[in-house]
Amino acid sequence: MMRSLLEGLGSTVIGWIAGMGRMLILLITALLWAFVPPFRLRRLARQIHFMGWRSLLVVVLTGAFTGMVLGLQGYYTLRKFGATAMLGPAVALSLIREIGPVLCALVVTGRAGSAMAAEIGIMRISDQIDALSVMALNPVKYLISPNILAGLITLPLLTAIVNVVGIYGGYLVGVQLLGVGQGVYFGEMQSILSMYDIKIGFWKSLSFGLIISWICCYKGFYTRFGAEGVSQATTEAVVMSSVWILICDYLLTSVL
Amino acid sequence: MIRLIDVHRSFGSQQVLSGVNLRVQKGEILTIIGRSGSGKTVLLRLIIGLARPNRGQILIEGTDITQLSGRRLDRVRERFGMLFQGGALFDSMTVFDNVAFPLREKTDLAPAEVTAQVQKMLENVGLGEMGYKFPAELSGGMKKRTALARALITNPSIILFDEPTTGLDPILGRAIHQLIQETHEAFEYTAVIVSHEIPEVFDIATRVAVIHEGRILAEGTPEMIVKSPDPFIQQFISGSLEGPVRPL
Repeated sequence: MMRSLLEGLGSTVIGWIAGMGRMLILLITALLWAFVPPFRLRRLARQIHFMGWRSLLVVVLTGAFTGMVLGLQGYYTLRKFGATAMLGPAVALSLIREIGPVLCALVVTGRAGSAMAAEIGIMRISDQIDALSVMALNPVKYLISPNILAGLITLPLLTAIVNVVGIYGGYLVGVQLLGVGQGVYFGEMQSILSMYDIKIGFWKSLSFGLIISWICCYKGFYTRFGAEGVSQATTEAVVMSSVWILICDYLLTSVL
Repeated sequence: MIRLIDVHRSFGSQQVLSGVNLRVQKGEILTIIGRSGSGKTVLLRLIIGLARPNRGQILIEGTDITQLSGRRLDRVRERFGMLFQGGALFDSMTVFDNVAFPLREKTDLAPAEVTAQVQKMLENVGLGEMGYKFPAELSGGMKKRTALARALITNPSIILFDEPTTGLDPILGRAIHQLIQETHEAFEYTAVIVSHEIPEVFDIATRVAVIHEGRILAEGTPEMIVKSPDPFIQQFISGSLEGPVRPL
């Protein structure tokens, strides 16, 4: 009884460590292959279109309503301290340093990351990945490298859009609806916001882009056991990416 | 051309292949038959380097591929084509793009030349008008023919067929066998076919190898296998419930 319990625990830990090793090897090989010709620019463009352009509507909606909520909540909170003039900087700092990158990453995980894991998973169980190997095409170079590069390129751009739309969402509520002065809203923002804040947001979005594409590709690439395996891999990809985005957000906030 | 020497392969505690020795001659059609789960597909995956044996050698034109990886293995694979059991067609591409894919990725041919070669190949397999369709819109037989066209387009010297007629009705199954025979004559490739379709597959086989309990039990011409006195082979060919193998 005790022995089988220990054996079970041991095999779980070994499996966990082996999984982490596989994940790391996949990332390193994908990044190395990305710089070896021939460069798959068409596939990279396709993945940027898929992750970026096709996520744009939901990302814009997220940014707009988040900015509007921040404007509304921020206004009533700041009014208690007689500091409604600080609404612009409050909205901008919250979005640029924190909410913009995190929300954008979570939305992209749900929309594009899950689809990425499912697509690669289906390719795995229907032998399409083996077919690439048979054609002497490296599946990591063909499938994974463009996805990871697309994640690194797309997330900072989408986050920038979320930030801009969110700031204008806050403006709509704070200035147009609640009467904060337009000059005050943008003027205070300009004087308080620094390049350092934007850099923090940029590094966060870059890291989240890597996390999403890496985890989702890994889960899809190592899918097993048919349709149920694909569904499990997709769920795990979304859950794991989301959790790691939040963990990484805390770590980066405390380090940067 | 292909030689397997004392090949062993297991998955966990399950020993699938335990000392396979097999030789495939240039230009022949070798059919491997055996029960479900006897390791036929594993054998094909080992031959093309999609899996590695635990022990033994796999020689492709004298090169032991068990020692190769990366680009050196890819160079050997460039001599191969493979028709997977389910076709393994890229479902986001049309029939035309699936067949054109290896040419676009592995050669420097001009687009017009690619189009001409693909169209000719699609006509060879009877799919001349189907290039615009997606795999999801095709019947089982059409998928197999598309996969065959994709396997043939780079003119490989060896093609592996993993149960090419599984899931097809007898007429379509025979049509696929006939297509394999015709393309084999036209392109002069070496073929290794894994199949359950007995005796139909004997019509196109140059030689037959029977795999049982992880080893090659017998090999020879179809006539020799049909006349084999081995009780397992007789039971397997006749599909009888009586014999050395208990089906359930």
